Amino acid sequence: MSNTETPITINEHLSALLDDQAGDFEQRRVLDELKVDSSLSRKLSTYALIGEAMRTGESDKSLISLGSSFLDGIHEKIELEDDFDEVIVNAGNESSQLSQSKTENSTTSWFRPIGGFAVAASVGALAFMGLQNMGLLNNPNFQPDGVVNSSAPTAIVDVTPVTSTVDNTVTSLNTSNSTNDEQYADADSHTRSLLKRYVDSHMQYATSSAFVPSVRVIAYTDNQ
Amino acid sequence: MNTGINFKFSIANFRNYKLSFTLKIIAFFLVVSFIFVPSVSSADESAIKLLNKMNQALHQLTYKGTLVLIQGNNVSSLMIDHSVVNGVQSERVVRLNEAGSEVSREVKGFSLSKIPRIRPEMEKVYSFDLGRENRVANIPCRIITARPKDRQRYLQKYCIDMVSGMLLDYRLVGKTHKPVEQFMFTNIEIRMPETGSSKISVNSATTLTPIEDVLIESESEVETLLRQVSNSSLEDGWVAEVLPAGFEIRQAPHMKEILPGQEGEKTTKHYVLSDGLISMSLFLTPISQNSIPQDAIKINSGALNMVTQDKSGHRITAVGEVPELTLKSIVKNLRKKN
Repeated sequence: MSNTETPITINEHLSALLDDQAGDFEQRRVLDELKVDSSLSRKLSTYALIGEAMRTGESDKSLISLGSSFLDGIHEKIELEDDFDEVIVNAGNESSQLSQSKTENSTTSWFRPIGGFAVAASVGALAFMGLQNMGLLNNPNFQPDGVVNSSAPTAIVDVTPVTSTVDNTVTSLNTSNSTNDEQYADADSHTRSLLKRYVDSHMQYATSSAFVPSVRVIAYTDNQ
Repeated sequence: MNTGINFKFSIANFRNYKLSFTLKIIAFFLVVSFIFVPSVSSADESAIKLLNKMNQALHQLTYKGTLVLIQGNNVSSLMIDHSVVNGVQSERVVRLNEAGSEVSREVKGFSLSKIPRIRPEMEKVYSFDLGRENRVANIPCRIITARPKDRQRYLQKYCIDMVSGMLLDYRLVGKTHKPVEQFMFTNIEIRMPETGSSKISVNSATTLTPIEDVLIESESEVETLLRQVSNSSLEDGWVAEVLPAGFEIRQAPHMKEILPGQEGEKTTKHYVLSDGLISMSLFLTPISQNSIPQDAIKINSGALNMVTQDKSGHRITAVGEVPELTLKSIVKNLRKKN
């Protein structure tokens, strides 16, 4: 059941925005909608939660491993969601479609476990379909990096959600901002740690910005 | 003959016509400037007043809401809860799209209280313009633009609720006219200080009374640790030969650290450059003369940039909420004089 107040295209743009795939036009359009549509803003928070849960497994560049902690992470995030708004998952809808409405607490508590299961199931289905499309499941020789050999003692790959605080963070390697006239290289962990200290010190003594410096490090050789 | 007289007559007429036309044009511009110049300065004054009202409101209002934070390609959703209880501010910021981590104001994070107060000297490097009315989180707000008078810093756009003074939308805009960082409330509840019960209505009185401000006090403690540096002359013979207009240099406490590939602990000098609205930091660390020069490094996260370069036996690092070219220019024009 689609939300009649919000066209489906806005949902798609919202999703694209969170996936960094929205162009300038889409970004502006979503932001304009967010200014006036409070339900859309709640939807953004929900999408962001789900997106973050799905991205958690990508931090080590391995395939998504559907360990129990991954699903628990989704449930945990849905539990946390109630602290801030009244977002529920519409169980009767297509699996990925979310809707928001202000409901009585009793209704929310009834929907929550079903909703959580629906989201988890949809994520699982998407991951499964993704693997099928890649032809990996049909390839008997394929052995994903993150999956332990079945003959070995059973172990679940740790996909604990990355805990990143609103504090200064220095993460690694963002090549999206690279320019052609500069030669880039990785900054080692010691350098990253040092640069983080500089950002910390800058935040303490200098900054007048409200923004959180979540920093990505690029190293390059300056040829000029 | 007659033709010659007529010709002279027509030239004189033409000259008179040209003169009167020129006088009319001058008069027109005089009238236009007479009408518009006072209104422009009046708009500037209104803009500054509203910005300062915003600054006061960010400290003194109780507000709770969700905002979208966009830094470059990263989108985050934050919940911010700022309250004033018995005249003391407290602030709580929670990132909604990460693992439920919660950080208080004291742990250096997102805080609207950091937005500085507008001072008269800032008008030398920025023009403050009152823009059109907009609507954010379903609340009408007025756009104010702090437009830099050079290309060395970002343009800043605020959208402020004129009733409460609350900042609802803030963006830093780069030279490509696109926001490099932005936050925008998607929903917000604003309450009057102290009472904490009634939501501010459009017609309510918004006079804010001074309160004990612990956040400002903690910032004042930082201020006392900064020492003014004169004439762009830094310690150890370093001179910042070219600085963007309006920037003043102050020195922060030294840092002790161990650099990769260097022996022993080094003392890093930290200088803070600020035009009042935005800031940069310069870090100077001595390195061994025989060490292999490190690759230059640059960092970008939305508006924040960082560049490093080895120069005259020092590793120089510049960090700040300014365009990368500004940082590069400052590092390039830093000279060591023996």
